[in-house]
Amino acid sequence: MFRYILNRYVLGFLCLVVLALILITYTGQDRTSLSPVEKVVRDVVTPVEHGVTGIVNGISDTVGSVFAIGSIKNENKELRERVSSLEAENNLLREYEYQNLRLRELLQFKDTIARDYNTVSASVVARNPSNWFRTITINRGESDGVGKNMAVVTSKGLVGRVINVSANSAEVLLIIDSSSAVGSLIQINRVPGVIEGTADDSGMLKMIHLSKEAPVKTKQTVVSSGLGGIFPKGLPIGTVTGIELESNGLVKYATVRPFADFNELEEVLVIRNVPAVDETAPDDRGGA
Amino acid sequence: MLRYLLIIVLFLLGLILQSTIFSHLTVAGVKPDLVLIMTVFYALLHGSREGALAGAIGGLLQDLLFGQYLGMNTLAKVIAGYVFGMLEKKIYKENLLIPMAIIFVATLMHETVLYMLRQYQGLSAGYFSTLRSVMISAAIYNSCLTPFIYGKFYKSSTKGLLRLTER
Repeated sequence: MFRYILNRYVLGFLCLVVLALILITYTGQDRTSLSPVEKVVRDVVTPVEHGVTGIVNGISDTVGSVFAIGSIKNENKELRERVSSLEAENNLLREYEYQNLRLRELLQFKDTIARDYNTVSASVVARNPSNWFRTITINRGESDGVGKNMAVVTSKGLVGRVINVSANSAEVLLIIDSSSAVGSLIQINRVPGVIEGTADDSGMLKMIHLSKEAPVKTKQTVVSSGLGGIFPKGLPIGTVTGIELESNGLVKYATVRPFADFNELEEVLVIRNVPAVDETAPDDRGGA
Repeated sequence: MLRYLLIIVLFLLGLILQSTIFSHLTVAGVKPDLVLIMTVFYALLHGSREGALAGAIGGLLQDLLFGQYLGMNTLAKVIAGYVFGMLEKKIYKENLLIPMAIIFVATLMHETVLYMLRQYQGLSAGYFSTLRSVMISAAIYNSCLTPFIYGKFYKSSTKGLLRLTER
């Protein structure tokens, strides 16, 4: 019996499992940089992926535009109307902005929202093929000034943060990944919480750590709070679509629909400088 | 030697397709796993030892390219290659339904191993909810791709470049 347990294959298998577990433990998200082997492999494959993605996008754009011609005319008309109404609104908002600036000066209020981020644009060249990780690969890396933990956005909202960089590529952990956490606020009433991804494929987010009495309602906008220092303050994240009580009955969580369309990511912006935030960061996972 | 080179190229091709084209072709939110499919086919046709080796090559490539945790996919695919290689002499390989059923089971097993490894890394999600939302759809998707890949693989393994005898 004992001899059977010490079978060559069983022993080999156990060694393999232990070795893999050790590797997995030491190569998590918290490591400072990729191993040289990974860097080389990624730098070689990324240009190929870039090419294939370019072709795929080109084909889908061409096919899509043929079918879209009919609706474009109507859409154009609607957009013109929308532009004029937005221009009017913009004028009004600019007035408010100047008023806000004057009042801030009166109060000597420190500006915590950076206005002009130093960004670099990048193409999404690949997505993680596994169903367990929501990450994308972009075609910018260390040579373009991209570094670990930089925030990644689209014009619509927050997308994620850089977790790995090689010379010419970087891997971005999307905020819909279940291991992502972003310190966040309800924009209108500044209720704080943490935005997490969900493990299923709904593409929705969860805003957790909301107190039971917090005045959170559907259709409210969620923005990043800047706590933790990774994500700049005030980046739009999504809209609240539902609120539910956590099973322990003490806190509640909100389901949030992200603004960014994670199925159609093609171009993203990497924010290279993260502005300093005045508040002290809390000592929880909200910083991640 | 040529055979292993070919496997590496096939796996790389599979990974590139999977991360580019197939990420646009998600069904019920899941992507197929071409590397797993190829590993299991290879194991079915060549046995446990070769299957485990192919799993190690494919898994390691995937980890190097996309992994946050080196070794996670490697371990899951080595296990799949080894386990399904044991069926080499026991199944009738000409019938297409058999590899389809095997891929279904293999995907469920592979995803369960990945689930356990992610649990070990601190994922908090119930097994049965992920089984419902991810694993079963992935298993169905993978077995639906089987007819397109198995024939070519089978032919190459018995007559072509992937044949075992030329060492």
